[in-house]
Amino acid sequence: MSAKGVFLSLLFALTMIASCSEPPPAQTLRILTWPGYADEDLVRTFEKRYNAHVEVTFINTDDELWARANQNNGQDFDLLAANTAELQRYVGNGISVPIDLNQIPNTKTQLPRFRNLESIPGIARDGKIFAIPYTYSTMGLIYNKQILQEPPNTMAAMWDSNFQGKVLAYDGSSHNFTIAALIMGLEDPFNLSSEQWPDVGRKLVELRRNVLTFYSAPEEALELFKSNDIALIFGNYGAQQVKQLRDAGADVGYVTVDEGTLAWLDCWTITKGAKDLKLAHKWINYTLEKSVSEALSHRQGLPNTVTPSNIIDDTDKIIWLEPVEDFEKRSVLWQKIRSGDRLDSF
Amino acid sequence: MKVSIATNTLSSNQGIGDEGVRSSPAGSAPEQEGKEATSTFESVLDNPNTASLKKATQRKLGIGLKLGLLLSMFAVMASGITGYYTFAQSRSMLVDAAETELLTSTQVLGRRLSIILAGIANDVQFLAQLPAAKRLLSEPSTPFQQQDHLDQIFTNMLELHPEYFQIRLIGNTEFGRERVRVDRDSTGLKVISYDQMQEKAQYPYVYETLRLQPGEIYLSPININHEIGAHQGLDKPTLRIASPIASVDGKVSGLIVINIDLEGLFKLLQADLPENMLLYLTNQEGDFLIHPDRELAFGFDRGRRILIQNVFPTTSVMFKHGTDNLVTNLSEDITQRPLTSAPAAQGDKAAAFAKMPFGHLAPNRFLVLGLAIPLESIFDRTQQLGRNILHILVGFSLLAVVVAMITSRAISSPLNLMVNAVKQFSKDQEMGQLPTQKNDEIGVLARAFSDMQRLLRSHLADLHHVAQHDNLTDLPNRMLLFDRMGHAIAKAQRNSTQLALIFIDLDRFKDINDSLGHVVGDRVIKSVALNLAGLLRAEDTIARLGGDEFVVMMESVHSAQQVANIAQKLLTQLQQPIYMESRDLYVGASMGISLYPQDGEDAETLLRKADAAMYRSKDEGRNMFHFYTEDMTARALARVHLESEIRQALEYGGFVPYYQPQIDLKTGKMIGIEALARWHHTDGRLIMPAEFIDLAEDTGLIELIGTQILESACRQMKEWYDAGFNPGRVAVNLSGKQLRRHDLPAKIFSILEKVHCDPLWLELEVIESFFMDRAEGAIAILEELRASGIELAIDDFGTGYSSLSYLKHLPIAKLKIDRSFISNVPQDDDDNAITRAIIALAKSLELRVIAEGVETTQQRSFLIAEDCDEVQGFYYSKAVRAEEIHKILVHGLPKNESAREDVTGN
Repeated sequence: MSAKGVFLSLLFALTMIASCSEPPPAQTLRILTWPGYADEDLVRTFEKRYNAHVEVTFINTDDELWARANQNNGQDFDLLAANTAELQRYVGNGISVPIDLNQIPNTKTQLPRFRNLESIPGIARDGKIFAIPYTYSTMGLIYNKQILQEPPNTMAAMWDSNFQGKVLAYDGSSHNFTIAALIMGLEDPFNLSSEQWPDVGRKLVELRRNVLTFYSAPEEALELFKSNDIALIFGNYGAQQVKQLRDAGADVGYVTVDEGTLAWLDCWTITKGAKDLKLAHKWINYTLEKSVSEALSHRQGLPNTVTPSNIIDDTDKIIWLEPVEDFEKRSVLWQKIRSGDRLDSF
Repeated sequence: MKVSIATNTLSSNQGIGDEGVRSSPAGSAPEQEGKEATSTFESVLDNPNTASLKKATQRKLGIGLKLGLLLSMFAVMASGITGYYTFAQSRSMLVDAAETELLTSTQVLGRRLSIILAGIANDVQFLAQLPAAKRLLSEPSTPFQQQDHLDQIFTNMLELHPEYFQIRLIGNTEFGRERVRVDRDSTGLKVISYDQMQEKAQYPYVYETLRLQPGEIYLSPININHEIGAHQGLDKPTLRIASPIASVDGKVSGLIVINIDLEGLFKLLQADLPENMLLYLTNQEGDFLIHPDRELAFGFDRGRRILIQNVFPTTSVMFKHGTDNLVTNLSEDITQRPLTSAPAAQGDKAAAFAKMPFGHLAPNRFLVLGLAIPLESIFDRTQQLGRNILHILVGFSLLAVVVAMITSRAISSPLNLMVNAVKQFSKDQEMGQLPTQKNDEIGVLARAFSDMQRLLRSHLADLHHVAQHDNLTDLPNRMLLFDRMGHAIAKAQRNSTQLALIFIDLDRFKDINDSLGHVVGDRVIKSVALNLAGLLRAEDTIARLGGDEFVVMMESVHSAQQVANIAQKLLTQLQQPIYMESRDLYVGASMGISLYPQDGEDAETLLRKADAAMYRSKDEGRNMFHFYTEDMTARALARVHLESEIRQALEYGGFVPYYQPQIDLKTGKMIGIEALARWHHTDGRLIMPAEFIDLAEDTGLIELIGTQILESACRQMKEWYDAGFNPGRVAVNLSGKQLRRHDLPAKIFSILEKVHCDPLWLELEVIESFFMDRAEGAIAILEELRASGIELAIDDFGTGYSSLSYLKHLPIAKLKIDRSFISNVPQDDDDNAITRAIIALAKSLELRVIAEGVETTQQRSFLIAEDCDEVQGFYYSKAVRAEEIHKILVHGLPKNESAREDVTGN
């Protein structure tokens, strides 16, 4: 170390001593959310405005979200974004805590459809509000216009042996079971009976045998699309993902399907581990600001709850996601299917 | 620096050569210094007032301490800076060395990793080329199919390579079904049974490998293996290396894949590294694969990418640009760390990163390998160095302080010694100890001091002597006399003995001085002093009070007779002529004697009374001595009183000229006047010169009186001439003192000018004795006066010892026969002869001759008969006021016979 280096270290040491007398560092807000929901520039603005430090953790699957939210007894995060279906189990096991609407004045600017919180399944329980809608999307089918002349009209296309090795399915247990159930024409795709399990499982093994691989993040799908001959992609990320593909130059179409297209509504919910409830409320209020919400739509192609959108047609059969009968079971089973267990094991 | 020291040394050596003889004995100085220090300390303790404390403080901050502090500070600073730089430099070198070592280690590690990977690739290729593998794949899988020893080969290989998790043979049929699979689990190696084997076509390592040509190698991204059934490899960081298997027809029919335990692999590699060395591994994007804090590795697998570029921003150049190697100091960006992770090793680290390309295995792909070592651990090595340096530094500083103190003491102690010596000298003129034996500038200074002290002392002694002695005779002066008298009186008082004081005043010294000049006068005084001293006992003191006054103090006097005897002896001695200037000079003296304790108890009284007694002797005809009697004091007081009255009279113009007419015997007419001083006292008395002239001469006031008379007479002459009268010349007497002044002509001319008196109206009378002095200056003065038209006459002619031949060269016009001759003519034959001779002399020299003191007709007749030119005296007129002369000028001389009876005039 040069003399100057020593001098600087001395200076640094002095500064450290001096800084001991400063007030404690700003409160930290820990957010567990999906990519695109908390862009760095928006986070910095928030940090500056409220003198807070924000730590964002991104997840790519609901299972991952659940696992992270529940680890360490739910103390690791202050706030998370989950869809209304997933939300049920967060409210059920106490991870989610009620929200004080008075602290989120921007809810008054939301579209009427999202303002009537009692009417949205999964948000309210026992008269308490547990979540604030932030964004939503359908999970339709993305198809490669270079390969398919006609847009497909059912998710069953992913099982079509014509497209064997050219399908990208989503590496998430819950939706895959629901989709399989829908194709199989089961009555309640969110609640499988014990006798239905092996059939749905086998259906999913068939799906696995027909796909090239499973993706988690939309970027991953994009990369796979670019380096492989892909005909169909399950649009788990909906319009957001389509935009990304198109931005990358992919000639893709996006369709809702006849058997009914799953749609999710992502909401902010505050966790029981929240250290600073006020700050968590401020974050939700902040994301409902028109500029922040519109930034989400602009950048991610996702509709927001503040400005009107035509993403959902009246004619479209939309199935809002609902809580499933057994997340754990679906997850464990999915992992086995994902890992290559053969048909005869179901 | 060295040069100047050498020069100084040389010069001080020269100093020693010069001054060496005077050096004080060596070795005494330090003792002196010690004593001084102690006494100062005691004095501070004894006298706790602020002044002495302040003094002590000042002393403490003396030049020695200041110099010592300065030197110490300098030395400590110098060694401190040197130490610091040595330390910093060593530290910097150590860090550099450590960084180089780190980089080398990183590169070596990377190379070893490459070699290992290449080895694994070889294994994979080896397995892919096994005929058994091809054979196996050529048949459809059944539960009963023999694995053709492949399971055994896999097992052996796994046993050989503990870093392998599993080895599998996967077919391209049946959705990538595994055909042979050996896993490592907690209990050991496990050959997986047919029904347990899975379909893997959905995994990139399968579908990507199947796209390769036989012999090529697939290298998977490193990630966490989530494949259920992977046994020990489940949820572990895994690298998969695979290679396609060519069927008999050359087409790819399956693949061999080896799952590599990344942690196990690096554990092996790391075994050779020092314990405190931290290992980092990232993929091509910068995601941490290995991090000392496991929480930070494989962030992407948990939904949060943790990139090295964010955690260590300096590394970003390796990803953005083509930098292959990087040596850097790591300061972790703490904000990039998740809250959940345990804090990593704090503090800065030295780190080296190296790109590790996969080479032919996977062109364009690389890993980044990094090794870091906490700076503290590097600095641990410098600690001992630092401690050593510190020890040396402290030791050297202490040494420096000691040396500085010794040096400053070496300088300050002789300085203090000198200061004390000088202080002592200025206090009591005693020379203190000086460091004269030193060989440097201080020694030179001390010797200079010492010389200066000696010189000063000798000068002081001289000054002392001068102050107490008469510089002409070197006899004690009044001051020393009084001093000795003080001692003698004290002694006499103790011993009840007597003291005598003989006051001696030379009778004719003034005349000698006036006529022969100061040089002769001084020689006379010296001679007298010598003669007197020769007659006295050793214990007696003879002092000169100034002028012609001497005092003899006799101690241990038994009787007045003893004193009288001595006085007589002195008197006799002083009556002896002194041979000087080729002639005998007769000085003579008057003496007065006072006795202790009869006449006074202190020196001043005794002296005053002896003085008074001396005046009695003067008054009674000189050349005698008198003992003091009471009445003498009154007379002495009268003299003092008279002197002050004379001074006052000078102030108010109390001295006025009276004029005695001078008559031409042939015509009987007044042809001139003599101005004679009279004192108009404020009490109305008219005082004749006999009463004040002696005192005026003694005090020097005679000069001022003469000037006043001259000016008044000249003014009067101007008046008369202006009024149309012709009073002839006015004769004014010049005293010897006036004549000795070189500016006499200038003074006389200025008076004449002031009152507008013509020099032709003035005659100056000079006593005969004046001409006995042949000083050329005096003659020149007379000639200057004569040249202006002033006439010069010799007064009292016949009483002196004028050389007749010399007389003829003098610028005189007239001789005045002394009244003592005239008073006895024509009755005394001798005086008749002298008078006749003087008149004849004057005639022969063509000088006019005047007789003074003419009172009788007989005298007048005698003078007429002898052809004397002019006369003055009571026969005609006593000295009268100017008004009377005015009358004479108007009416002529009155026939006033009564004037002849007045014998007190002139």
